[in-house]
Amino acid sequence: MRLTIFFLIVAIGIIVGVLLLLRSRKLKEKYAALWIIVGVLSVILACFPRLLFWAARFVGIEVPSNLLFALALLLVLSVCLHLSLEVSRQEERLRRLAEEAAIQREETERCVRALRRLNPASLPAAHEGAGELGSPEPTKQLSIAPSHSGEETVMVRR
Amino acid sequence: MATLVIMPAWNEHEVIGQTLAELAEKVPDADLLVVDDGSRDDTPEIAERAGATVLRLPFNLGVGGAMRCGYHYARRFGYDRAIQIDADGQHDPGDIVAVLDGLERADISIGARFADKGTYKVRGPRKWAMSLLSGIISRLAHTRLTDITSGFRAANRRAIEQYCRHYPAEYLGDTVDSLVVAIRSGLSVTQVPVEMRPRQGGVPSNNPAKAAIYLVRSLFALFIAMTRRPVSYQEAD
Repeated sequence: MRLTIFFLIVAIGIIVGVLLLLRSRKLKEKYAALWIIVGVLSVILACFPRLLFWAARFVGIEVPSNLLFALALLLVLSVCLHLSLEVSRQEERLRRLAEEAAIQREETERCVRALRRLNPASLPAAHEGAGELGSPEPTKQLSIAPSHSGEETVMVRR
Repeated sequence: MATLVIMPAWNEHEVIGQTLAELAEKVPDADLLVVDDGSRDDTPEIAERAGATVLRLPFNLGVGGAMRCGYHYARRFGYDRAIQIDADGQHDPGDIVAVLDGLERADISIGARFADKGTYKVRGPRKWAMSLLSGIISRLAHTRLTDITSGFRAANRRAIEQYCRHYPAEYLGDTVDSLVVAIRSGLSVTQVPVEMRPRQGGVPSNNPAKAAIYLVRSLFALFIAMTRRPVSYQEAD
């Protein structure tokens, strides 16, 4: 009986912990769902340990604890896989953002150079990062778009 | 025809100035784009001074990442053709016109180093791995391809669109994977014999263990690419 109470406390602890993390927005719902399911299952098993014996006999496992271990292992593995998937997705998005940032930066620099040439007073010459924005030697073409197009507008094609 | 030369560069300050100067001389009509892959040296400044447009990636993405960034740039600004070339001077800028001409008969034109020209040689297991790969991909493309890992490749508008959609950043993803998926998506490929010059520093390894790992990794990359779903580039963005 003492053991049952101990496990009940642990299980409720898991649920409360996950809910607290959710409340403080440290954990997103899509990751929390799995952990809440784990918590609820633990509570049920702690209250009715007989369930585990029935389930073990039903699937043909002689030692009930082995069923518990197998299930726990499977669960942890699937959580790991889920996290790997999520990391891969984040990496791809980060890559896309980095590419976009590089293109945007180049476009901005080109605009700033063109603006400065049109009206040198329009932008403060010496602010932070000015050395990066304004190249020492002005490039030949005046247009803002890349040289091949010869237009004076910034082309944004998608 | 607007042509863009895409050159990924990562800490190449020793050679990039010379390569760019040579490019500006050999292909004066093309725009030069250097994709700086998070260099820690003054590669981007040198490239800018040499007259190239420089895209600065905020951190290192690998060759594939830098390349796709270049193709996105080509698409955004409506270039008709794009050609990728190494910064280290291995590819002769004098061959660019020949590789670009290959686009008249295909969507992707590869500057191939084994096509009966040049003195560059690879021996041992690495060579077997490469010829096995080219054999399989040649059959897939219905044309003889001898150097599928070449980084000297030209693309027309269709291929630029294709690369924007599928150009993995992983090892071999930028060569084998991107090519296989392009072929499976219905793009045609051709190859043009080019001469490779010795690298300006660094020796190609002939370590058999490394070659074996290369074989396994390239076959795995090929296997995954063969099972991927083709990209349909006709549909709207």
